[in-house]
Amino acid sequence: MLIVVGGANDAEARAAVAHLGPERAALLDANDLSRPGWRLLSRDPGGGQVVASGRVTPAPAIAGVVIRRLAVYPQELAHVHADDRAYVAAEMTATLAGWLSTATFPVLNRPGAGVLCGPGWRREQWLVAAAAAGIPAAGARRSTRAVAVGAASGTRTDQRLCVVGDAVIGTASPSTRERCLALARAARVSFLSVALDEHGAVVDASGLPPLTPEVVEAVARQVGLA
Amino acid sequence: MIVLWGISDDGPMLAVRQELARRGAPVIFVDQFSVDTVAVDLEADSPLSGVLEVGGRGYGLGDVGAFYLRPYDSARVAAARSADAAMKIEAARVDDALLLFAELTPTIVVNRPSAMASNGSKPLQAALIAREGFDVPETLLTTDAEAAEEFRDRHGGAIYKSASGVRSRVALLDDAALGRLAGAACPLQLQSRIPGVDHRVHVVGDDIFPAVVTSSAVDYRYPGADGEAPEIASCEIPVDIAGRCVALTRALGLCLSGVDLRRTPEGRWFCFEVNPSPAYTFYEEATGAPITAALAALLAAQGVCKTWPG
Repeated sequence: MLIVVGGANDAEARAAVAHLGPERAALLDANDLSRPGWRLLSRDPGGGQVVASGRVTPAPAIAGVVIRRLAVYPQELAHVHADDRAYVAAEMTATLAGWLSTATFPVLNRPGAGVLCGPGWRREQWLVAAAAAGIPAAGARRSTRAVAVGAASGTRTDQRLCVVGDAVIGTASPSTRERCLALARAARVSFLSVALDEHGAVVDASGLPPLTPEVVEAVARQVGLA
Repeated sequence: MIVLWGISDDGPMLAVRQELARRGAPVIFVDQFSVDTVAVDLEADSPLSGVLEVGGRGYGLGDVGAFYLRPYDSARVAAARSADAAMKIEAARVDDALLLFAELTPTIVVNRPSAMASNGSKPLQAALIAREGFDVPETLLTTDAEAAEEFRDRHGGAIYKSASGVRSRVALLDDAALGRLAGAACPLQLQSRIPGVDHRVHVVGDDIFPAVVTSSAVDYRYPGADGEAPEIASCEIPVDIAGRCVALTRALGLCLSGVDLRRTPEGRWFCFEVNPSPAYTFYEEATGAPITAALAALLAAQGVCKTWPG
């Protein structure tokens, strides 16, 4: 079973689960975190049980998890009293972070730096990491005076590639593909979207790649889903 | 140059500012209450450079040798100032730029935001603490009253508290709390109840400042009656535990921490939590431990400490 941790209104997450079918995938959203059935013991990181797609799922039945969110947000918790939503959202996020950071199955990508889908980097951090790894990258500038925060002048995305483990999804030269893999290694993630300009320089990256059918199949292979 | 970032009446921030002033150290204080006078222009290429503008004066980001940050939620600060929407956006922009600088600068940072983040999930942090050799209480995250009751019975008692960084009062899991679990909105974090004496160890670099806390309250931070008011005193702790506190702090990527320990009657030491932004002045005032002086010295050393984690 592949668990997709995402929002109930995440169309790509729902499509990914539909693509693999209910026997092979389930969506774990905020509603599931409010349902009976959660049992996670610290002394048994590979065991316990969670709730996904409304069903109790034993951890041993999980082949892997792909995380589609940075946190659970109060706005998703219409079923919770308004006064409690911020607290409950924080508790849900902390629960997921604890579970997914210690789980023994593959997680794309494990929590980091306070967000559910690591590494939680800003655009400039990706560019700095790329440059440090010897990968051509756009200049990393940030000004609080700029109207558009984060957008460096003169950078334009020419193509986007997706790294899933050792595979690169998308059409690109061998050298460009290797750059993407190198960036994923530098960030210690196995699931990464990389934006490059017309010269093959990195202009941005994200640990939350789009879940196209091709990417979903690659993720399923990565976690060893039958 | 030392940059301090927070609000002017925050206890630890005020104490450090005063100590650094006494030492004659070059300090720039970025006051969240004056965010409209702050601008950041960051160039993150190697070497990192740019300008921090505060109150109309510009300072080179490449000249920053140490950064101590205790920022409050910018939304709350803005609300306290009755700021308009534009000011709130500006505040958020400045906050994020300074947080980015804190992550990228090679200088000593107390503490880097990414290193502090583990405290936002107690189960996640407990796993890291256990990895560094400390005993930690067994934890159950559950929405099932049956599982909670079994856990409590197996351990002869259990407590529950928030799993996130939102502060909560530690409470005993009694039958009333079990009854409420049936309609819980999210998993509840339970821990085996560990009897013993609380200790708080502040770590500043290689220095430790242990204190023993005596209280009959389940959570000494919330004494229910006069008789439960905590008594705090400096103490000694075993050398190996002291070393483990320093190693744990370093492993978490921190230069400053408040480590919560409990020593059982049998002499075992359990670690409950590592606070990466401790309000240490509460303990300093009670014990006289020179934590502020140690922290100021760490910051003032500037370039000498560039080998610190992060």
